[in-house]
Amino acid sequence: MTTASKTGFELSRRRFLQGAGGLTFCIAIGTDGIRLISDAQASAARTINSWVRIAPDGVVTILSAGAEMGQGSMTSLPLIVAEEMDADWSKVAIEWAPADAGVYGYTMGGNRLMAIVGSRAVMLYFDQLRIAGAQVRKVLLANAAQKWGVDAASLRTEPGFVVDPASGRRMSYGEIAGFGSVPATLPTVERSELKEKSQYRLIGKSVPRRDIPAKVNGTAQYAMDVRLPNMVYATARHSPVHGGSPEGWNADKVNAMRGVLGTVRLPDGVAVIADSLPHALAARGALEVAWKPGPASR
Amino acid sequence: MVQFSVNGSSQRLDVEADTPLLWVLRDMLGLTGTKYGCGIAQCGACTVHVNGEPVRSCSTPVSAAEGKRVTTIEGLSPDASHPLQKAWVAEQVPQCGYCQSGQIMQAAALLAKNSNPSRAEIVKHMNGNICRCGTYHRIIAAIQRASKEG
Repeated sequence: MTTASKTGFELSRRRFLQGAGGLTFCIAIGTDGIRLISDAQASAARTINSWVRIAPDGVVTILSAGAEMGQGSMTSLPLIVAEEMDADWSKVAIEWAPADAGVYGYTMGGNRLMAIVGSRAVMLYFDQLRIAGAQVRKVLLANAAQKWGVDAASLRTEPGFVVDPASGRRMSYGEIAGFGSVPATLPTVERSELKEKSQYRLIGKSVPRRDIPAKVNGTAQYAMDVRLPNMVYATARHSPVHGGSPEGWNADKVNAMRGVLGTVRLPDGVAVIADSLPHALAARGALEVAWKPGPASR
Repeated sequence: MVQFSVNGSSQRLDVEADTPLLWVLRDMLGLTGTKYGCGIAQCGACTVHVNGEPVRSCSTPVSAAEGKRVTTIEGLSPDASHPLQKAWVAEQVPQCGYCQSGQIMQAAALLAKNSNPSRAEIVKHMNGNICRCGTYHRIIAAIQRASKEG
């Protein structure tokens, strides 16, 4: 399941909780299990990136829309989804959501945003992620109920399992993902159906951050670690005074330095481009710029 | 031409002798776990070991590593099993994490010489490694944990 074509998989959708953050979801069953995707994705003809994906082996993949800057968002946001769907946290894998605010953002002041600032990630996403998780749980319950021939209301969930208290039967989420189907109309989720605080298994507990292991062995990738074929490196010297601009610089000398590909005028500085970062840094160090003062200098 | 070993593997590289070791590691060898911070040996983010001693690779010419053993965060252990790496996870030390490779390498050089450092010795040894997130208390706790459990 790689495109949003309705012919490739069963698809249904329905608006629920009008006005709750602006995101609506639909569930899709693909060859690789159940996916929860947003309404916006389903209506756009593009690659689907799901919020939740359950694989037949029980691994629940949840996308995180909050940029991780050390504050723990990549753990806390998927954890909210996992809480409401009663996922087994040890079987939750986290993937980054693409930079697509139309699908993965929140609504603020009429705009769709993915910006994470001011310790607000959990507040901004809390309701919509709880609803998303609760809806996945309802679909899982409905599938198990149908399989067992019982009323879904009689069933419960435990982390990673649908449980039938009357008979003691248990069915794993992975098993359901293997045969599951989607109802023609998706279940709605009322606020009253969301968990009470006293029912939380994950929220409010001390849960190890998922970003930390990669930060102790050098594998965490930062912007500076990205390598692309034939990439070149640029760095800039900016005006020492606000609003200043370059009048001229020793381009001949700098251009002749090893690895330097050129210099570029910026509104408020001069950039050097080179074949490696050390060459770019050395060239920036050799730049001599005549600055024209800006309005703030007068 | 410079010859030295990096994380146990022998390297022979055609590189200008004054190239900072940091860029040889990151750009030529792809070992991006070592970070570029200040570039002037004032922050410690680029710390690696040369013959077991912690050095600031941003300001160490690659020629200074000639014939020596260089160890980076990637080579500290094959599977993040160094007591410091385990303690770093147990104490949930990193926030953004950018300085932590350097912090761990600096700390590893301490424990290699002094397996049971006092708090004061830890603070003194780690003094040159800056963390803008302010994880210092956890860094100290993790070094103490590694010292006990290592």
